[in-house]
Amino acid sequence: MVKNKRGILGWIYLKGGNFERYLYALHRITGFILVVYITFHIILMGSRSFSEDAWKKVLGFLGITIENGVYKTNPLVHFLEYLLILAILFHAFNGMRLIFTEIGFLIGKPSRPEYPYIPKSIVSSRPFMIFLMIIAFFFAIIGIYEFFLIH
Amino acid sequence: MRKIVFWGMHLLAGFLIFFFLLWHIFYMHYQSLTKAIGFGTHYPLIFSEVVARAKTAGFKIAYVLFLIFVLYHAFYGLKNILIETEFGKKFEIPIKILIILFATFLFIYGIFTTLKIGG
Repeated sequence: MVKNKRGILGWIYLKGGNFERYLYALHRITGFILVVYITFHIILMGSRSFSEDAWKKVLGFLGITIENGVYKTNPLVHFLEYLLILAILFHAFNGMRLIFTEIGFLIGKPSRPEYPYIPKSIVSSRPFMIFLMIIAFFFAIIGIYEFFLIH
Repeated sequence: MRKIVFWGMHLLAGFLIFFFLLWHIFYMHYQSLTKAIGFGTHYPLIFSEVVARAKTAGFKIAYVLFLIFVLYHAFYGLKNILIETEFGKKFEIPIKILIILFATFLFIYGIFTTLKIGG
C-alpha cells in the first residue's frame, strides 16, 4: 500500500502533475467549501418559514437589505457571493466530466503505452474537459455582468 | 449495501444536482438572463415572492428532491475526503456516525421549513 507521506497537503502538492491533477485539487477544495456553505445556507434560509422579520434579520446579517424593491448588498458579501458562484460553476462542470469518465465514456479504448507515456484515458477526455471549462467560463463572465454591472 | 452502490448514488445525485443547481443559480442570481428567457424575477429575495414561490407544489417537490440530492452528495463526498486522511482512518466509524447525524438534522430542518412555510 502506498504511504501518504504528505497527508492532507498531498491534495495541493502539484509539482509534476498534469492539468487534471490541478482540477482534482480544485474539485476537492471547492467541494469542501460548498459543504460548509450549504450547511449555513440551509440553516439561515430556513428563517423564511418563521416570519418576515426573521427573514429580514438574516438578510441583514448577510449584508443584504431590501428597500422599496431595491437591493442593497454589502460589497464584500457581494464579491464573496460571486466567488461562491465561481466555485459552484467549476465544481458542477468538472464534476460532470468526472461522472462521464467514471462510467467509462470519453476515455477511449485500451492501448499499448507509448512515449511520452501520457495515459490515453486523459488525452481522450481532454477535449470534453476543455469544452466544459469553456461553458463554465462563459457563465462566469455572464456572472460578472449580473453581479457587478447591473446591481 | 455494497460500497459501489453508495458510490453510484453519489454520482447519480451529482448528475441530478447539476441541473437543479444551475436552475437555482440562474433564478436567484442571474435575473436579467432569466427574465430575458421569460421564467425569472427581478426580486427573488423579497419576502412576499419567497413565500408565494415556496407555497407552490412544484417548488415543494423540487426543494425536497434538491435537498436530498445535495445532502447525500455533499456529506458522502465529505466522508470520502475525511476518511482518506490519517486522522480519518483512525476514527472512520465515529466520523461516519457524526456525518449521518448531522446530515439527518439538516434534512429534517429543511423539510420542516419547507412544510411550515406552505401552511
